Amino acid sequence: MTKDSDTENKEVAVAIITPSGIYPGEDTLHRAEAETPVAKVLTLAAEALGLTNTTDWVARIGEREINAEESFKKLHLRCIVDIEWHKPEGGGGA
Amino acid sequence: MHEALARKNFERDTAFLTEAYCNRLGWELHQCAFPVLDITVKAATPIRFRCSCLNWDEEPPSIAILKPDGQPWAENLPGGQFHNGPHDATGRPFICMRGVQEYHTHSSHLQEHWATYRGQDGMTLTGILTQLSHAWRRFKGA
Repeated sequence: MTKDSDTENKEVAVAIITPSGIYPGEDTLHRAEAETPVAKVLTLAAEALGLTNTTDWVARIGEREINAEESFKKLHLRCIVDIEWHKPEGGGGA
Repeated sequence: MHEALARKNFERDTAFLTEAYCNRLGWELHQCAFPVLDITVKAATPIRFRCSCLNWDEEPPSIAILKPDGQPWAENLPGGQFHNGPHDATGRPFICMRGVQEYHTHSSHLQEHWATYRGQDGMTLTGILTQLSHAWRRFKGA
């Protein structure tokens, strides 16, 4: 295995897409160690975007909800990852 | 609500709604000019939501359910947040989800006031549409 691919497996490049914007930005990605819990990056996103109450929010990749307490590695997330993070849908059934 | 304030709130909440942002969420943006925010959600069965935000955010958006070409939605809706109606005030199919005017004005939910959710993180215009998008894709597939 080359040094480059070692780095590739140890790091992920992440964007957090929220209803208040994208962290770290539309054209940039946050680099994190693969062992980092996803929640740690969500906290950084909340701080940057001025989000103060996200306790009931859900993190999704596509339509798959993920456990943000797990690390990127444990969730098998590699390379470039877009995570949607938002309040869950409510209602239904008038 | 004074129109100037509603306009200011609308523009604040949609300032970052670029084409790139919409692409990341799987949305096609048709219009984003006060008081209308109009998107199509890309999905196995795409659907279009036209939000009328005349009194945002004193009142939640009124959302029309449309086909991607802008015609009224004519097929059966799947239930859950997507109700075939008729809504007891509008007489039309409607979105049955907190944060949508037709939910809070339906006789079944009159006790659940928009004021409870207004101003909460994630209950912005884009937040409400994000929730709707996921609800739709859960029913109809991505």
